Amino acid sequence: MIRQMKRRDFVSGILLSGAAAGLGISCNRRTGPDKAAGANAAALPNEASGRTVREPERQIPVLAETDVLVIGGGPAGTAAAIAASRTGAETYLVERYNHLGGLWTGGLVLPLLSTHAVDRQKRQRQVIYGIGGEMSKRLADLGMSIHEVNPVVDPEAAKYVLDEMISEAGVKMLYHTWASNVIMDGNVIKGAFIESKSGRMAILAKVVIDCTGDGDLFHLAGDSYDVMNYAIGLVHRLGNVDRIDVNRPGYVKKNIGGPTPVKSVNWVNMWGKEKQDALDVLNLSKLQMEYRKSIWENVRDIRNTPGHEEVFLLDTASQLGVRMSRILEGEYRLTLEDTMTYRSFSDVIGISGAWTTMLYKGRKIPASERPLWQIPYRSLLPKKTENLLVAGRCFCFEKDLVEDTRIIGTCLVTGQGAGAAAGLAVREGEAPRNISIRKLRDLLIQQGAWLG
Amino acid sequence: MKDSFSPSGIRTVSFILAVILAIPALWEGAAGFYSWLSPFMMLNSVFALKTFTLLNIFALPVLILTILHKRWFCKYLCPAGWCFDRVSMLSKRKSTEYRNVPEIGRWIAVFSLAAAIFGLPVFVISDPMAIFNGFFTVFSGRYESSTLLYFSMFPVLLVMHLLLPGIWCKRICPLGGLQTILRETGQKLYRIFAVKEQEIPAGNNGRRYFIMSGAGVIAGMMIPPFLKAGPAQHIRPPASVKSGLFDLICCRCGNCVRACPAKIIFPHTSADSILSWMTPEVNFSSGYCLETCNLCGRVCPTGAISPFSVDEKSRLIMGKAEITINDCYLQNNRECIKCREACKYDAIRFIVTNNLLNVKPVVDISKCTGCGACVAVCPAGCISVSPSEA
Repeated sequence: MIRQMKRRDFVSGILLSGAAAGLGISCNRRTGPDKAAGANAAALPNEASGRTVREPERQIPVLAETDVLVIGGGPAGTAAAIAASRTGAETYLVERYNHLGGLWTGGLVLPLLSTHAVDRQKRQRQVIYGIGGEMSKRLADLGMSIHEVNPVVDPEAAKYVLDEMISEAGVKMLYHTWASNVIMDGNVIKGAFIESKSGRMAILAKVVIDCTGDGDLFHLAGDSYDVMNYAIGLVHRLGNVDRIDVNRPGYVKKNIGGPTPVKSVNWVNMWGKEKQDALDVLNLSKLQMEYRKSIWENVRDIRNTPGHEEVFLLDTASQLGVRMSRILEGEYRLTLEDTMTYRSFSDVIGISGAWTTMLYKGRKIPASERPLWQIPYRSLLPKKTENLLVAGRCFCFEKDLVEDTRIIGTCLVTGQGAGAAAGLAVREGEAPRNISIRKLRDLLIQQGAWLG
Repeated sequence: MKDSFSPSGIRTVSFILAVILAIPALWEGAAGFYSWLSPFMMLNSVFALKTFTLLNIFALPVLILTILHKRWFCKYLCPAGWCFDRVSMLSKRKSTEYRNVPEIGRWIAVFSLAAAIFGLPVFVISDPMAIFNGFFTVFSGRYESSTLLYFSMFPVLLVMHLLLPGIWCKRICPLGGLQTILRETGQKLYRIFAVKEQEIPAGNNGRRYFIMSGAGVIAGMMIPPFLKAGPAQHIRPPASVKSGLFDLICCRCGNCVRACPAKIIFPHTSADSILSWMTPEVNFSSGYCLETCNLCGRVCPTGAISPFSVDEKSRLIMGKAEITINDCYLQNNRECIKCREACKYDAIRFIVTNNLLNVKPVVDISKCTGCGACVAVCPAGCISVSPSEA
């Protein structure tokens, strides 16, 4: 599960902390690159040549000076940008692909999980409201979601709805753009360098929100984190599943995945290979090709099975299904116990639900009986970097909780929390770390979030 | 206050203590402390298993005190006797009517102990401490018909005293009978060796003892071969003795049922194996055998579940997990790693079969202990544990 230390990190670890790190005892805690050394690469693949070249110093044009800069347009980033913009803060949203929704849409992970959980009175209820709730309601109104609890949505409809909501909120959208580095002043983040067809540019911001999923920004800013290597999959969709003829002689039931709001289309999940390094681009490239081949061959087998002749591979996801990579070491690490015992936090920014059965202290807690759980604002705050907030699957939690934290629903909740906090920090002229918790609560409730 | 130091005062205190200890969830490790004190249970266990465990030490002082003082346990400690005496007082029948009934307690004791030597402690289930403790099992929050069986034994004895005061204690109780035997034997030996009395009062009991113990020996030798059960029918707690032997040794006190923090031990009630009735059976519907727990072995007064250390648990096999793969979430477009995550013995691996889209969990039976963690957590309900003798 735990990523091994790379040699380069190991060497800098020795330089930083001397003999203690030199022992290297199952060290999984890492910090971002040593800025003094001028390194800005995210994480070097194991196969890297070891040689380096010097990048010439240059002046970078500043695209904008804004209030809030959100990096990553997945469920968390989209919710964060909308929430920040709705507080009146000027907000930029940077997305590397051509759509919003991240793994939810581009990754074809279509179920919006953990929308419901059990309250203290043991009644199952909806827990995700606010911006996430608006999204799922709009999709339902379009007829593009099935099931009330943990709905499965149509990815193109979700991309459309998210674009609409972003436009309505007045967020300034940058598609096809990659944030390549942070701009730091000591421990204070001042913005980010972005790369696109327009070349390298900078965006300066009062508050930056890391919604990269992999925690690229807190890594680059030099904060501490854990790395969790997990299974990576690749989802695909099948078309014409409604034309399967079960009466054809020789028909055999095949795994054709689960239904989506479009009757003729199914989505097919893939657990994939275990313990994969999601931060090694060579590994990701290798997996991408291997998985695509595997899917193609599987669909070929399905098509060759009597009754399935009309089924075809509609698409493979445009994003690999990376489940986990970096986990922030923030001001508070949310624990499994917190989520199992209705732990309430004075700085709650949202409530999420549960979708998996758990063993807790030897007892079975079925998914349908799992308690709702609060997420504190402190879990979104890095320990070191100022003016940076973290939302999405890489916020600060205990690894036992990963099945519930890496889920679309939870990402929507942390996203809105971080966005509202950023907007409030800008409005009050305070650092995000020092904002009034009472005002944040009021703001979130005003934005329709449910805090219990 | 003087009264509280009288035998009956001390027994009242003892009764209160016994109730507190027997209430589930207070001190799980001490659940059934009183059954450890019973010399009848201890001797049955030691004779049947031919081993002496730490738990057996508790009954030794009681045994010695019983030799020195007539029915010491009854007088000073027995919480069941305390209740029976109270009920007897309510009865309208004469308190001497029990005398019409023969004193069968001591014959039960002799028979049981003699048979125990040959592995069949037949009457260990009639130990009053087992019956008393069993009563409290229902308070562990489980109201299945099987716990009601435990629950009902004690009230039945109470009612018996309403009809015939003193009947159990004075006539039937094997623990009482054993105490009488110990006392008489002690006195006899004292007269022979210490006082050097030449004339031993002739009693006709010697012959009866001989007959009963002989019958016990025969029963102990003859019956077990008939009871040799086939392969284990249900899952026992870890470190249990072999299935056939278990049914015979287990005194049905319910201590393990009450002690189990995961609440996975249930009294067995199945029409097709009446011999196993009320013995502990493990069911993983609500939890699993915790890797950090050895309470059932610690509270078992008979040694049917032998004491074991937590470190041994990876070698104590309760059964083997089996996965019905077609129902597994991973085969049905849903994400799940619960079984592998739950396994504390690293016995579940995910393997890719012929295609990356087909990942399935596989049990490594050399590592599986049958602890049931995967069974309990599996949201698809597609894992089961089959009992095994190993």
